[in-house]
Amino acid sequence: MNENIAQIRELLIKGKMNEINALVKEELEKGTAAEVILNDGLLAGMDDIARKWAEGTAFIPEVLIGARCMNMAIDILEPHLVKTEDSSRGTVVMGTVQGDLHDIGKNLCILMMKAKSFNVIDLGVDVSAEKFVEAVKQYEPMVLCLSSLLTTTMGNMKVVIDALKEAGIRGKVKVAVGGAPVTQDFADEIGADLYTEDAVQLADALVAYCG
Amino acid sequence: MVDEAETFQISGSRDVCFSAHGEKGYALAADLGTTTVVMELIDLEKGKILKEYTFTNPQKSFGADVITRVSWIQRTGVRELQRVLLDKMKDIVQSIPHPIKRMTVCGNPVMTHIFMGVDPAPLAMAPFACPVKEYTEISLDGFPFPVQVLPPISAYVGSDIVMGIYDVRQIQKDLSLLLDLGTNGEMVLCKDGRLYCTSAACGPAFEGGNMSCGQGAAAGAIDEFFYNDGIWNYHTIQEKEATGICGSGYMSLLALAVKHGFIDAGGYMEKELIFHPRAKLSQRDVREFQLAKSAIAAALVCLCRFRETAFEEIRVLYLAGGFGAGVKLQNLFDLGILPVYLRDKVKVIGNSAVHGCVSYAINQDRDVLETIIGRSQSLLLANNRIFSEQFMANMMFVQNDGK
Repeated sequence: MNENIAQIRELLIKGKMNEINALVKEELEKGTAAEVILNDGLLAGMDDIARKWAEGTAFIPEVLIGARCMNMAIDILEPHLVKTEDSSRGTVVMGTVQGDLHDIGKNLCILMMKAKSFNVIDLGVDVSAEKFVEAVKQYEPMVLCLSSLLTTTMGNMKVVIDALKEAGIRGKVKVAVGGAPVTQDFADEIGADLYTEDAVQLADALVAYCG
Repeated sequence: MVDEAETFQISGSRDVCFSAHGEKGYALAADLGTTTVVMELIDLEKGKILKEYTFTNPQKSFGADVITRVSWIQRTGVRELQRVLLDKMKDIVQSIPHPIKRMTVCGNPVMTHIFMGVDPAPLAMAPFACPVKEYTEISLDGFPFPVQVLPPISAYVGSDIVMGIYDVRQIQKDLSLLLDLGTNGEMVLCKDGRLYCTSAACGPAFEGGNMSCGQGAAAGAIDEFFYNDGIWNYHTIQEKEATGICGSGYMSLLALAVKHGFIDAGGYMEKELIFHPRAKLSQRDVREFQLAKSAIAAALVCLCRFRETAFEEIRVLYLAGGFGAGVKLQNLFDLGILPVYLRDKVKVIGNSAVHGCVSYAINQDRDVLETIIGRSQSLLLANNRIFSEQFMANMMFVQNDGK
């Protein structure tokens, strides 16, 4: 592998944004395909961080710092990326439930899913059950992901699932739930299809599910 | 008006003199903290604190943080949590040999609502409505005197901050900041006579919470570290055998460990640092600390940008909180918690919420209170784009230039 790209991958966990951006530009000028820089450099680096996070040797700050660098670098790459519709594994709709404004956990999940080539529709935070139902009708995703960081709002996940049933579309979409206070027991209790402990496991579980 | 020179003392000092106006009798002031409750018995005529009662909030058995307590209340109602706190306070009231004329109560919004027996659930989720926004006088069983519950500014900025502003009234005269570092980092920017307030959930890391060897500032807690000629040393409170590390201990430890290369600027450490079986610094601790310090730094940026204020323009930063005199200010700058521009502008004011509350219990100047509330506006960070961006940008242990 190209030395610069290997370096981009390594610098990501250290959060060296300026150096990464300079290397990305240098590679683009040399004519390296944007997809190669993205996949072998940035996404591989993010995957390294995710693995360390799962192992407990990296923590939220590294993930956030890495994500920030990656997003900046992707802005540079964006105009050079060739859009290919069918490269996506499938569509996922995700949002934080009503009453809850936390988006860091949700954004990490989205990042990890995007890194695994899912097409993710981000509904944002404080999303009502009606909005989730509408989005499922509109985008017809394979999976709907619900996030909640508060014990006070996690009950709204059940409200969403009930609304899906009421709208007659519960059978059309798999529902995944997660967030700090959420447990497997809670997921079972409200009738969710999937629960994972963190963003890395979610992305892996969806890969297994969607093939 | 609080004697300015004396406000530098840390709460608990009984020598603080508050201006009095000849009213005879006794009053109580209470600051309801999530972790610690402070009650002060006041001699109104002398303007002096006769006795300070400090106890762990008994609601702690229902959850260490406010959100856990609110979710408990969602399931079982507010009465139980209200009762455990009132019972404890009643015991203190009954032990006092003087007739009490009134009790003034401040605290974060969730605490004051539970105290009044009002469901705090709306405070804890968007759109963050505040059920009781007004000054409220209530009578409570077992408290044979009127109880004044002071008003919050919003669902996430409580009357403890109002009392902080009330205590340091000169804040309103200058372009200044008030920062209270506790479980929540609450802060106020005063500009052109207006008060802009916010709070950043920084977690209990600064108080030693969530840390592998963390503890409160009690005997045996390491409150300062030293590193000379390759050798680590530390000081414990009351020079007892080390039992853990308190907030100011972590501050000095982190600052030294970064300075001497045990931790890199990104927060990575080669190996755990072990000083004593009950005093270690793990990678997880460092990360926990980073989240807390970044939340504070990011919130400060948001608050100042909200009013297009550069840190260079700030005249004074009033630093309040249970921190006490233990923290070396230099550490706060070295760790990037406070922006470098404020280096020569910090005034440590101790527990300003308690001071303000005592002062209000004596002076009863509602007009001043209402003026503060009327001038205040609060800023929500939870959905603030600049906050998320700054939260990531401030993770690193580098000097904070506020950019």
